[in-house]
Amino acid sequence: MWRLSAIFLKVGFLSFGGGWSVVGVLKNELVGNGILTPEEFTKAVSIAQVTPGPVAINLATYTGYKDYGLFGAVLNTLSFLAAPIAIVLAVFLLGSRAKIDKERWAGALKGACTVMVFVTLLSLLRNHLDLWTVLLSIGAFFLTLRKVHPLLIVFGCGALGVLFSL
Amino acid sequence: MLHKLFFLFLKVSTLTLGGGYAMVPVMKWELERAKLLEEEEFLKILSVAQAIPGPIAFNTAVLVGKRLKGVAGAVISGLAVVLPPFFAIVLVAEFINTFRESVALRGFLNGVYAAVVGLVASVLYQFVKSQKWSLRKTIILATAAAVLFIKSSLVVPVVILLLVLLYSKGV
Repeated sequence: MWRLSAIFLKVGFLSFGGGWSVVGVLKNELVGNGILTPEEFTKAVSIAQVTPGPVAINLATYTGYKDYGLFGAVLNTLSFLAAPIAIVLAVFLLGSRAKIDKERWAGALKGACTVMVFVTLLSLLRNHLDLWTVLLSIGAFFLTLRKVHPLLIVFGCGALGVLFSL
Repeated sequence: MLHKLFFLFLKVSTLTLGGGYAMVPVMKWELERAKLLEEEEFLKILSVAQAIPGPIAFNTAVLVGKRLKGVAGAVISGLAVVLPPFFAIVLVAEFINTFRESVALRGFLNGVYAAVVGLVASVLYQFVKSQKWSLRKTIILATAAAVLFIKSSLVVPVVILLLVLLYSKGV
């Protein structure tokens, strides 16, 4: 349980630019260390997406809860949030003495996030996907480009998934 | 004031599905409507929230709380954002556990997974599109991506190196 929280603590410090940039890192850490099977990870990602709240926090809460109950869920969630809490505290204490070029930092983050989202996409694709899942993903991608609401896409694909499975 | 903040963020966090980026515009709207924060102030806070690690919705709430009501405001707002998804996940996990043999549920989650792949591809596309691509930057990012393609377990050191490199070179 502590090992699991340590992973979320570590990854918390890298969680820039929206949840999707860290999902790939989390998969490497969780599946690579044998804490979750690829199938369990796939399920956890889907669950995190259809539940209200930030995807990465949901993932932390769910994996903690699944194996260790409420205590694991609390511990995991807090571990993941420790990084932002620590940094906000540091900013309060240091005030504006720390000089960071904001524009530059934002640019650097964007670059790093691009690579991290790429890693996430790659790791999501590494699960053996059957043909119709791939087709559905491509469809979902083009729908987002046409500004269809993501929730509509998520639940629409879920409904199609139910139809296919019956 | 504190309870007002708490219920505002609680409401946004409970009712907004689809991750942090879906929550931010709703927060902005609610804060303006409650006459707690002007748009300009909110956008300033948002840019800080994006510059530090952590879920964007959580960071924004904590910083807004701090701005309006000091440390107590920060704690209350952070809690209000985290509590609803926490209990939602616990409920959903129980539900899934009860119906884990269900073929329909498995189908549903597989369908959602496909949608997630599409959404992530679209996030990547937006990231790529919204940046200026100098030759140097392209080479740095492509190298990092190639290294991670071959050895994905190196992601933590590579990302840290990447951040340092991009920031110090200002690309």
